[in-house]
Amino acid sequence: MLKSTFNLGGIHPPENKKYSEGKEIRNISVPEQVSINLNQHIGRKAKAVVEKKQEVSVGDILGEADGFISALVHSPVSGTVKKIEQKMTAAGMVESTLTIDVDVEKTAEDSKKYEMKKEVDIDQTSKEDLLKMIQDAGIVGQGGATFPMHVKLSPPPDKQVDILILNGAECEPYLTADHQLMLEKTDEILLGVRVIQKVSNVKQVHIGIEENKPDAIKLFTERISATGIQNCQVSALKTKYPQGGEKQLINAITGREVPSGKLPFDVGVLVQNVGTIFAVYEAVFYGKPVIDRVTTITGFVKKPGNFRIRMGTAFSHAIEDGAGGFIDEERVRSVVNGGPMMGKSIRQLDVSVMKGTSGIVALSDHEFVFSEEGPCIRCGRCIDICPMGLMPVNLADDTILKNGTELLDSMDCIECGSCSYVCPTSRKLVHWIKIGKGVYRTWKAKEESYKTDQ
Amino acid sequence: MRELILTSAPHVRSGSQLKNIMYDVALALLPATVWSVYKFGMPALNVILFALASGLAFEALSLYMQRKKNILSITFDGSAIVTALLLALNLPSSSPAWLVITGSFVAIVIAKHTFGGLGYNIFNPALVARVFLLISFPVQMTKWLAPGSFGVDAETIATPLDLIKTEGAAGIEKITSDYTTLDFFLGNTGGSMGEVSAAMLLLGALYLMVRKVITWEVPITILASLFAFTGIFYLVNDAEYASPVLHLLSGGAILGAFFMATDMVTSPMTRKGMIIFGVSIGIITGLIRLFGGYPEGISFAIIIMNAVVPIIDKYTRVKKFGT
Repeated sequence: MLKSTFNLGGIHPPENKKYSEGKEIRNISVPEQVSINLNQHIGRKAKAVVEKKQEVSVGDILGEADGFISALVHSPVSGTVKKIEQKMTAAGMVESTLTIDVDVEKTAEDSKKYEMKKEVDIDQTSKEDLLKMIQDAGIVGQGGATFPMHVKLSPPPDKQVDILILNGAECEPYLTADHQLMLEKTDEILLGVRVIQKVSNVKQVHIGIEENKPDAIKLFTERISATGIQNCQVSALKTKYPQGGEKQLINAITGREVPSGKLPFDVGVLVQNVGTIFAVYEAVFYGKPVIDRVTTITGFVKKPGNFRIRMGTAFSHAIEDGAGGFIDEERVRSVVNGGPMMGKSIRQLDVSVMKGTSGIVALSDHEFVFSEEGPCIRCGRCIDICPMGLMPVNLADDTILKNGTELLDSMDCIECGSCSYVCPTSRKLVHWIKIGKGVYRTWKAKEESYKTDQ
Repeated sequence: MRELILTSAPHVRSGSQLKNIMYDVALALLPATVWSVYKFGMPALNVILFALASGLAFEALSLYMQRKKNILSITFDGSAIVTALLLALNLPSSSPAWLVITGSFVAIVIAKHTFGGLGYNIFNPALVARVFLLISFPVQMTKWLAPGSFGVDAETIATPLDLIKTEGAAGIEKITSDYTTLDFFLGNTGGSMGEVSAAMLLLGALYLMVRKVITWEVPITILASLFAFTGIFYLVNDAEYASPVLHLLSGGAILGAFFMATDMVTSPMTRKGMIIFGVSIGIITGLIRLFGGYPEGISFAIIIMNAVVPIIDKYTRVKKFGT
């Protein structure tokens, strides 16, 4: 069978999923201390509503959403707020961070309330109620973009969304958390899909899974016919990076192209990651806010696998307790929050797990090779593989040579990193383009402030 | 535990490296190189060794004068070796040492490093050197030895394209009686060291295609447009004009199309641009061969089109997703 994939470019990095593939999701113990960042999503950061020395218990709101495009932050543990300070997050930004001393026993006791399944009849519950449950749970996109979900589910009234795509592509090398979640929680994810079907009123649901996960494709096909869920089908996709990119996935499954500068709902599509949908299921049927998530810890660690980790757990604790520590500490060169293609490398292991932490990947001196940027030899490979049909080499040069509106093209870049990956002279193309995007945004903001001044 | 290294994504890279690309090209030139030594003997080997030694020396010297770090590793990144090898294959086997060294100087120092070094040169360095030598030292540059005859009693012969240019219809008749198409294919004719054997060059070209170092666009369009251009004249008057097959197999058409025009630095970056580039080279080559002052025109054609590459690049931008 000819499997579909996106039209332009794409690469095939070594998958390296074998380390953690098929490993059952295990819980990581509650650490003695957690640190919760108040900016775990795109949009305005949450406002702290607790004070120093205040006692909190599991599920309490720590940070309130500041405006519509923002999300709630809940306490993953019971304990006492020790301090509120500015601290480096796993995403590499310095943000307000709450440090909580954990009462481990009380945490276990308080967490029990999320183990009782509520009787919820989706058909009888109103759209608004379901949306409220999602918003109250502080759900954000768990694929890594961390866009608040209730915003995504509330498109402008003139945009009609007719297709929901469930993103199970997991195209990043090393990561297997979504795959394992799809295998273990198939029915739960399908129930979550029904919730979204109801909220967004979509006609058709596609579950996009790459063909390197045949067991998940088979399982979903079986369960869809067994549960009799309507207008839902599995779309098997040819394995290619970055298939999990929203625009690429839409293109692969529906053939539609999201216009430059527009969003998926402009072509009537809503894309949700499987982990996010599972969070929706937990929010609706258990009333559980986002206090933990499934994450892959893999690479140069003793026992790689897939783990359920509480938010705020330090990477060092997660790696020690879950994955049994590094194979050889002296040979670890890089630890990445997320996948190796798009994730952020961290400087210190005391940063904590966030809503967007889809993986923790340790790279040894063998896998991580730092090389200096060489001169461009104009081979054009970056142009050939760019999934957005851009000319990365030119955009990178533009960042250095140009300013303002001339950098508009770089705003189309999805930062997948394929260009830097293939460059034979190790040019950090995507890095330059990201800087160019920043320069453009600053210029734009300035331009607008001039306008308002006049 | 050592300090973690903080880098911008992606944190893994493909194994693709400049060195691999350049040494792949050098490896692909090996069959033609070996063939040239087999056909033209020790003088050919001398030319190759002189070119390599002087090319690497000039490269190292240029890097030293620019106060670069890692001179040794940049010198041996393969690009200087490819340039030197291509230059050698573009010379007659009778070339004296001073000619080879002058050529290396022009290629490496003038055409490459004064423009900013690897990646910034506008013209293919080996070709600049060849054209420089051809214009400056026409006698030495057109002293072709007959294949298989070397030593003191080596005889000089004219290349097939020389015959066509100087003797016209009579030359074509002479070629078709003297050589079979197989002679052209295997390289039993006179000419530059590396250009005579189409078979050996195609073997290397195939390797480059399999290794994805070059794509089909540039070479195939050059050969196709040269074939079509010369073919039209052949159809009109087959006594005055040589057959397109002869044009493809003689002179530097194959060497130029697969190894010189495909040079990444001096050719367009997009597929569309490569096709425009290739077709133009084919037509200019045909024009020079049939109507120009020189018997062979592919070096001039490639250099002319090298100059146009920035414009081609500007007007052949790829289509952006979602537009």
